[in-house]
Amino acid sequence: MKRFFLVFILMLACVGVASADTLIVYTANSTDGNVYRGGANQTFIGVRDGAGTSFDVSGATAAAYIRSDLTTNTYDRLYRTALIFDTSGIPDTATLNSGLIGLYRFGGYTTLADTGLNIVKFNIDGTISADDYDNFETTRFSTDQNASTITTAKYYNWSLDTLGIGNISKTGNTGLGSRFSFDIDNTSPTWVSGGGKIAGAAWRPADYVLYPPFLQIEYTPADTTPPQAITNLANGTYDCSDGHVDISWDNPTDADYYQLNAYLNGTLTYYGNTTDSVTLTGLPESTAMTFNTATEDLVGNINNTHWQNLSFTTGSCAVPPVSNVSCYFTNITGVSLGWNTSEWNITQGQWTWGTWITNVTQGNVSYYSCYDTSVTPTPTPTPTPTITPTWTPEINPPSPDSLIGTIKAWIKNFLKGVFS
Amino acid sequence: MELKALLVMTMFFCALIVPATATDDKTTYNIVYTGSTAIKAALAAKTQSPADILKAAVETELTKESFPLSLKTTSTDFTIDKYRCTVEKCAYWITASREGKSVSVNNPIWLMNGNFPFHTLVSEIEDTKVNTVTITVKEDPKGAIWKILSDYVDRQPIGKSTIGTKS
Repeated sequence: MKRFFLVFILMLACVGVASADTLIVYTANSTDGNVYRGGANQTFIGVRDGAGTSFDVSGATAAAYIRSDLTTNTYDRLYRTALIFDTSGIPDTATLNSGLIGLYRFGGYTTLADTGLNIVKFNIDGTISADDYDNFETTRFSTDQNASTITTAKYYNWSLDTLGIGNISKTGNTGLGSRFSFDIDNTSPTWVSGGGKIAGAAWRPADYVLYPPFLQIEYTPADTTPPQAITNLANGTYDCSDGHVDISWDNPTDADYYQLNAYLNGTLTYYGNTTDSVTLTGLPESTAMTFNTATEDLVGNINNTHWQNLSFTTGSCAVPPVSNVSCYFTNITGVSLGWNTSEWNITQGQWTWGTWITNVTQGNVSYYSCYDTSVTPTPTPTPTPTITPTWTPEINPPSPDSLIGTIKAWIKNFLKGVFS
Repeated sequence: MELKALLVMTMFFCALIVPATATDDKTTYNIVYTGSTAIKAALAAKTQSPADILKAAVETELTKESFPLSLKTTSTDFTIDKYRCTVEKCAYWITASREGKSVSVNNPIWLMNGNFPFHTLVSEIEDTKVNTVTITVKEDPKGAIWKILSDYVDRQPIGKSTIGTKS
């Protein structure tokens, strides 16, 4: 049982999650219109199978209908709608899952007869012209919708079947046509006297500006695997002169690697696949920065599972480092140094007559002052000199008073030796 | 008697004559462009490709928006989570719900930069006396895209959404 469950899980993993993109394309002014045959008192066969007499790609309507003439069982007009969609935006390796064509209703006509309307293949032969009248095929790509049901001004949609989906080009233009059932099936409607009776429907073309015919295609991109992540993402040191930091990385070796999506503190910038370093300029000092990256391939797959992120803090430029600070005094019992610094590892140094209590090691000192420890210090900012320590031993000559005392003592001792 | 007969006959024929409506193929259509016509002029100049012109127009408008952006149709609530444009087409990632249930959206929805309708309707006036329809439109790429996406989500059935191209 466990083995069965394991196999089931593995099968599920192989099948994967269904995924699809959608592409919606429209016709343009010159890529939709009427191709038709006109002429008085033609038989149904004559008007259907004769050569096209005219076309129209700039009108406000595009139609698929037949119109009766005055003479019994004759017709004076048969229209077919040519539709050319640019479907080159579909990736060449994609798998097409479904197609839907939408035509915006201008009119539905049933005065001659009710008839189904459907989508067929239109064989593209250059620009649309009267010669295209016989370029409409008779295989239905969808289910008929009767003219009597096409009643309101809105899009009426036809879902394409397998044949219709197979007709969609992934590299160029797709030709489709709107045709009515009598025309597709080569079956004459029952003629109605009076002339001008119509069976069919009419649509809005692109020339109407609004509501052009559309083709909606759902497809699965062949490649859903994102590229590998970049490696060795690193930053250089902060340069106070212009506030720049150099960032570098190694690009992945995937053949379809397209670009790096990099977010500097949340702001997205793209770097092409030939770029592997960048200089970020104008960065503020002493500021935390994040540089988060994800790779993307040619068809738009982004590696969201292996983000490469960098965090760093720009340096401080407020005060240049000071070293070898020294000062000396005479006739005092101790010296203290004081300074301003933001670095934690600096402590105050103090020297008391031959003994350093605390050593100064490093730091960015903004000022220092020396003062006698016996006097209350006044920390006045002092320019930062670099003075080589020159400690001069202090010599204290005897004072006159102490000299007199010494002579007196020496005479006293001398006389004592003579008279004893 | 003759006069009465003439009157009756006139009334009879008047009843038979159906007033012209603006929905037959004899209708005259006037399209009036209002507001900016910058895109139309740029397309007519042909110094740039339609894709370049419309991509620039779309991105100019969309950069003014904050995403995710919530919108609503008569039947469906949807959110444009994000968008991304290539030279050729722009992609929109959408989540949608209808009556509290998820709508099956196959993301992203790509629109070709060069051939989507970029006008929206301002007014449509029908004059049956002269069998004329006048529609007034304006250039509004963003509004047109919202309409396209609205129509799309309205067409889609209830169900789980899928994502093909990841963002």
